Amino acid sequence: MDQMPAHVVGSIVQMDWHSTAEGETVLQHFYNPQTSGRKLFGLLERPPVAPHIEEVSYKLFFAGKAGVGKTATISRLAGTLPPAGYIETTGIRKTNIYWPVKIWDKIILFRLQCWDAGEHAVKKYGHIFPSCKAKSDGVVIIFSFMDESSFAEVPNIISKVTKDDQSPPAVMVFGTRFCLSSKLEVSLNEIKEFEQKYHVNVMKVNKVTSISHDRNEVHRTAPLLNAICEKLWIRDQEYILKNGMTV
Amino acid sequence: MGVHVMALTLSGGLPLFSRQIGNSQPLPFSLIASLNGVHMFCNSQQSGLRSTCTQDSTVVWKDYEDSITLIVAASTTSEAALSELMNCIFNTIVLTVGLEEVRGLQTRNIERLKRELRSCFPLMDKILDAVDLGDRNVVPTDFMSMVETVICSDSLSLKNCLGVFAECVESLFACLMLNSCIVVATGGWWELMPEERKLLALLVDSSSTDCTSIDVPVFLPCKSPTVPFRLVAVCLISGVWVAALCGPSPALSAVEQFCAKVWRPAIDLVRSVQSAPRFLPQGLQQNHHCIIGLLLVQCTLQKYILNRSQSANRKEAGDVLRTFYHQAASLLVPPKNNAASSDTRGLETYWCSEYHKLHALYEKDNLLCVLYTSALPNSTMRLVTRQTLQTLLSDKQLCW
Ligand SMILES: Nc1nc2c(ncn2[C@@H]2O[C@H](COP(=O)(O)OP(=O)(O)O)[C@@H](O)[C@H]2O)c(=O)[nH]1
Ligand SMILES: [Mg+2]
Repeated sequence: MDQMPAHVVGSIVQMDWHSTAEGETVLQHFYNPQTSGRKLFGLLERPPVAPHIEEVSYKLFFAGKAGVGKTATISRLAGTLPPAGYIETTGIRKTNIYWPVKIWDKIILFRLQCWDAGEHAVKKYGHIFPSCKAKSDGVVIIFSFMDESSFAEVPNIISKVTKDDQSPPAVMVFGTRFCLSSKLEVSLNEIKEFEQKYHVNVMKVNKVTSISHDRNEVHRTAPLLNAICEKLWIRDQEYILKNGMTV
Repeated sequence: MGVHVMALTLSGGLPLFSRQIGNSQPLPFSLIASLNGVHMFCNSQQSGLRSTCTQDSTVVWKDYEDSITLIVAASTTSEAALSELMNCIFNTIVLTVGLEEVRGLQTRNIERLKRELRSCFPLMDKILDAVDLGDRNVVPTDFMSMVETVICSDSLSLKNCLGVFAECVESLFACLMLNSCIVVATGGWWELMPEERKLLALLVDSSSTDCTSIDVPVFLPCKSPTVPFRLVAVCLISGVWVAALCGPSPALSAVEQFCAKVWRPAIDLVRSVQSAPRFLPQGLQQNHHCIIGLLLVQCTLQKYILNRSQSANRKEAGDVLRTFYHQAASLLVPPKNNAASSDTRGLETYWCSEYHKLHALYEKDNLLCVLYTSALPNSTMRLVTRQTLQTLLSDKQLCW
């Protein structure tokens, strides 16, 4: 991983495409007319975009200490309303998120399969962690800026999910409860060091406090989804480069 | 005062959780402590304290497995209803953490159990929500162990698909659901205890919000209270879920692959489920314009359908039928466990009001309640009900 050239975020995926006329038109198909939030699609469905648009599917495992905001982050990425109070996730919850992305001059429909599991269930039942980790293309590690210990755990999680793996998953890191006006337990200096050491960008998020659940939600979330998609895309390209000769 | 449910450890009186519904504040801790105190005092005097009531509210205490005390306080006068609610709440606890965890309460870490129990709050809230106190202050718990089903014009084909799917995932227990109603289910699913079936339906409903599949460990309160199953449920299309109780394998991703393999070819059939709108089957609708709605209950399996004619107001028809069921029709059903007794209860009953007529017929474990237009003569009402029951039972496609 260390030898890989660090791509500049935004060099592949068109980051502001979702605000263009074309982007807006495609995104129309992703909303739920009843709630004005985004819509989820069952296993046998997909957003009614033009059939020639290519679909790529990835498995993402969300890891991190209990209560840091894994479930909340997924619901944010999915554009659904986050659960009201904190309830620890029971067993495995999987959310398929469809997200259209413009890569160079082509629209690609990403299907992000987000796997989420409650800590207690992981400890109590042996099948849950392997089930979530198996064949994942990416691991999204979440920590909270308000909980030092959750950040300290991140390197352990990285080694746990990447060791003895022929093609280790792409690693992405999100820090929740990021708020510049309050004292953070995890300093920005620590983040900088961490980013350099592990060659990842830490994505900083906070709960959206406004109650409005409008279409602007998409524009707030787009940078996060685009970054995830780009990372997965790059991993694929590198895989093809590495294994291309042998085909 | 709505409904308040509290759980405490039996030995030490430590609170485990407390939930309430209705627009009421949580009970103050001191009140919970006193309610538990009197109960503990009675226990220590070798006398049981079961319940107490005022003019419009009731408090019930119950101990489970020598380790948990449940206390329910509600604005109702029906102790029996609350007692049933408590069993349901206790079953929810077992479903979530297993019976051993409950029995070993004294030796285990209480804080951990409390945390674990929090994960069944969404399910408990669903149960409490179903306890509709309405304005009559009754708790129609008869619906508590009953699952709602919807009938499709081609249930038989759906049942075949479901059978293939169940075989793929090596499960005897599978069902197809529309929202929290059963569309079709395997024989094994109908052999579960009614309470279990109901809780599983509510669990899928409460844990499936805003996700597309789940894989949740569950204990079956009656059939498997100490060995967990995996409740695996996958959303096929919006609102339509397929669920199965699985063993250690196949993993969720494999279950999804089987889902795609079995159900994709039947996508049109699945779509027809999504639109199953709880209307009367077509034949009935055409032959009997006098029927506004019907409620059919299978008493042993504890399942029901609630259908109406296309022109009827959904809420109104449903409310009238439910009221009729609770206040009159359900009395036709012989109580469980004494079917052999020389029973002299009736087999039919009816109500006539200014706006509608209602007629119920109990026959061979099925109870059919029909809501008619008021113009229909009473004698015809009996005939139509009987014919309707026959039609519903004999239609192979409906798979009742
Ligand atoms: N202020 C703030 N709260 C958050 C954020 N992310 C999550 N939370 C809250 O933290 C609690 C735990 O979140 P959850 O996603 O359930 O944690 P999980 O155990 O990792 O799945 C919930 O009450 C969330 O509303 C965030 O970025 N900012
Ligand atoms: Mg969670």
